[in-house]
Amino acid sequence: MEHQNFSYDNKIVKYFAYATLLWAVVAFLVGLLIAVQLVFPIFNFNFEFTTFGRLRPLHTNAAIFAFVGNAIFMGIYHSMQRLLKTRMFSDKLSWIHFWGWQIIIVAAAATLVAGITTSKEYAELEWPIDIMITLVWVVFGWNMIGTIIMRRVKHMYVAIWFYIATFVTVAVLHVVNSFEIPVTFFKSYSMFAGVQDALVQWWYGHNAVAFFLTTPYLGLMYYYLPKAANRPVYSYRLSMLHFWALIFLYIWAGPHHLLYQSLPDWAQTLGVVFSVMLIAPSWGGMVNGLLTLRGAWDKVRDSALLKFMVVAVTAYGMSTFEGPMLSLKNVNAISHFTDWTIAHVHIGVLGWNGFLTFGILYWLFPKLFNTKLYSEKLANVHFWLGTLGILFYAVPLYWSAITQSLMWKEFTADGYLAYPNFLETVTQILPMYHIRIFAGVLYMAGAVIMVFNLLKTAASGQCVDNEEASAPALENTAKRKIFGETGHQWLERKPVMFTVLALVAILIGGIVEIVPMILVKTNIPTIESVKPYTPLELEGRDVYIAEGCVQCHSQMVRPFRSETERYGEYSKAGEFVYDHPFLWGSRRTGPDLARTGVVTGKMYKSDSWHYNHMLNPQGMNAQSIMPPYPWLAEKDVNVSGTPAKIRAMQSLGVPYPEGYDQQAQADLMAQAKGIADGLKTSNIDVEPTRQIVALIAYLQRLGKDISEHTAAIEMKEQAPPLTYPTDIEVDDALMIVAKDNYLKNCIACHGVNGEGNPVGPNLTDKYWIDGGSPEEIFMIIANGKIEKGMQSWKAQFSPKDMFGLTQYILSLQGTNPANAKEPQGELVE
Amino acid sequence: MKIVSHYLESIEGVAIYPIIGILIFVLFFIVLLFYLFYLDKGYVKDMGNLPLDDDLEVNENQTKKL
Ligand code: HEC
Ligand code: HEC
Repeated sequence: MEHQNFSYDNKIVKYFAYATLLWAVVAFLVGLLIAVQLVFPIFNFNFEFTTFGRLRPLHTNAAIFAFVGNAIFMGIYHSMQRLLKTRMFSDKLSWIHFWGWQIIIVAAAATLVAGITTSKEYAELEWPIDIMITLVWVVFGWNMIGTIIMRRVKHMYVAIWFYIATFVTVAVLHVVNSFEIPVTFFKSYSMFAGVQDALVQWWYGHNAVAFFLTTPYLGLMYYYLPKAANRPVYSYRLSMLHFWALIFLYIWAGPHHLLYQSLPDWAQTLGVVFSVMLIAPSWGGMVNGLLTLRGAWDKVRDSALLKFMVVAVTAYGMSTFEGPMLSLKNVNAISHFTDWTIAHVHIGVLGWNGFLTFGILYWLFPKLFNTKLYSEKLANVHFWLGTLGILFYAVPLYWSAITQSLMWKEFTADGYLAYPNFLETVTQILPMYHIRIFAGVLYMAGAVIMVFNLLKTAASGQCVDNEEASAPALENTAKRKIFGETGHQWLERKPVMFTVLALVAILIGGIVEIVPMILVKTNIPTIESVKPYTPLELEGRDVYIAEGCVQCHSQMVRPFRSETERYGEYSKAGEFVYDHPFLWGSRRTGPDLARTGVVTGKMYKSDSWHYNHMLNPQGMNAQSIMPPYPWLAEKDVNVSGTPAKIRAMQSLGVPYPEGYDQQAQADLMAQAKGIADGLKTSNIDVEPTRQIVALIAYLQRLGKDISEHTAAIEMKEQAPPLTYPTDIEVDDALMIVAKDNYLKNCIACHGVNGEGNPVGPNLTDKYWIDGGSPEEIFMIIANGKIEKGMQSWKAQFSPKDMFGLTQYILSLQGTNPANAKEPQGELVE
Repeated sequence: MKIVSHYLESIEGVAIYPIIGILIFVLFFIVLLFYLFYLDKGYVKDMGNLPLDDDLEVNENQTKKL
């Protein structure tokens, strides 16, 4: 038999390894910074490029696509050459892939901090970068399939199946989710709107986790764990089962929960069975990994890298158990919008992806550089720091999730929200956020130690860039099945065929899921009063997108009493028909904003309140953790670009009148001037073209259409008029409750001691704007003065509570608190 | 996300999708199990050892008969 000499390309592996180290540090560092920002808003630095809303996507993208991405390529380029006994198909493609990917990462980082984003989670990058990703991904696939075709080993090991599945599925996902229509070089609108956009996005989001963070890593696990333990995988049969069951099930299991929840019972049961079934292959894989170490546990004790791998595989098992649990309806009702999701993904990324990567790196560096690891001790220190980091990250966040969720949902005996002030539920979990920072420091420190250790290792050895090897040539393999060969064995010899079949497997799931998504559009009832955004509001929405407000604010009131009490009417699908893209959000760090513009609603704030709050949230509420946005009052909306945006919207089917793009600028200026003039009466001087004006216009629009829709219906059934109660006794109990209510609800505008602030008047002096008699005070609390920024409270408080508040305010008379605001209104003796 | 499901409800016959899904999968799964059960032992062993002998110059897997 002919022996062929060739060489392995180690240089490309080395480069991907260095890139992995670099981006790991960057991703963790940004993660640490945003964790700090959530406790100390001052670390937003009052600087647009470093605010939370822009850095959070930078962190997720760096962790997933830069750190994990490079680690995947490192592992694939290293293991594939050896499993197939051949050099990569083309050095040129390898290097295009490497540098292309790094350029994408740098471009992603630069655009994200500049506020250039589509706002879709894990798919934030704008269309030119999307195209670059597609091209580089094709290069990667071409190189990989080419290598497989050039192989010197007859059959493909299971790791390679996972790599192939990763390649085809990510390609499909990326393309479908990137349907967008470009407006400028840096701006595009999603082709889908509202509910449909959300469905496509989460179909993508779920499967991105499955096929970028899971399948390639399973491939790596099936290669590196046997390597590191120096024994074959426990059951190769089980790994084959793992592969087919996983890629078949994964693509439709997750998002399918959306469907099942409202189907007939028997179909729901099917749905639950389906996602619970996903646990089976996942746990099969975990058990397979762990049992590979059977009889080698003594090795695990001494080897840091095996310990890393054991924890990684265990974390995989935990996440894949938790995932299906979180998608159960009643669990989701509690967990959604809380830190639970955040904890869940970090078990996955820090535990499974992070630790497996670290294990591989500790194994690979000595091999690549023909030397020994610089320090096993430091690797062990890293292991313990990392493990503690994960624990200190996850446990407090689970705690915070449950605490906050229960606080959101708690009602008093009288049927009012126990914590009507959202901020209170934030302040309560801040201690957990302190612990998270500590966790981040631990994990980060471990990673830095690793980088030091590995660089020292590299320096002590020499990397053979082209490692000589030789292997027998592959005999000319028959096209057809050879005698005694099973179907799958034949398939494994036919990489292109295999790829096509893997594609078919995921497409079946994909199509079954996508079809209802397409149907859903025609099934959304239109709501008469829902109109397209005005040009100014559209610009404001783009400011909202650019600043990443969606990272902290949801716009989706779920039909639970706890939510409708707090925010207002629950969200209807018909409200979102013009939302390209949807902005529902996934984490409520701040309150939901879907009903912010409802004048009679609980969330309503005046323009001047928004203005002051946006510039300095801590000025309104010392404990707020929202970042300040001072530059919004200095930067202008690019009005000359508005007509193009209108035209883009028109082409997506948003019904602006024919030729409206010509009219848009004038309409925008008129509306902006109106808002600026209104702000002048509150002594705020701002140019109408400023971004903040557009943002305020957008915020005041939220929920307005639907409220007009329901106002008409409710007109008929009005409550009897409210009067000042005269039969309630003033006692200590009443005053204690009143004080508590005051502190929870009123200090944002009237100060802790009633001294007043830039928005609300002083309540302790003898000057009253709306009259100082008990009756008048009672009425202003009940009805508010919405146009001036005083809310109406009668929906939130019983007459007794409002009577108590009146008495409490009267009791503040003449207390002369510090920082009292100058008198407003008339003297009342 | 509940809201989404609510509107999916209105699609006629949407329940057919999960049913088709589960049927295809169950069939596929049964075939797969049978297939794996009857898979050649020697082949399985060779494949499992692939990562381990890739450092050797000669790949035994190559020369052995299937
Ligand atoms: C770090 C997370 C975070 C980001 C980013 C953020 N917010 Fe907030 N936001 C909060 C928190 C927390 C509150 C509640 C405390 C307060 O009122 O300041 C809040 C409150 C608000 C409120 C008042 C809601 C109410 O009625 O009580 C509005 C309006 C608002 N944010 C708008 C925005 C806009 C617009 C952006 C983007 C420019 C933004 N937020 C970005 C966290 C955030
Ligand atoms: C969003 C800011 C805001 C909040 C929260 C708020 N207020 Fe006010 N309040 C105002 C503003 C602004 C005015 C002045 C209205 C006017 O100019 O007529 C006002 C006026 C008043 C007045 C009349 C003062 C006068 O001089 O006539 C009373 C009494 C009052 N608020 C009580 C309350 C109580 C009690 C709460 C809590 C339950 C509360 N406010 C919460 C903004 C607020």
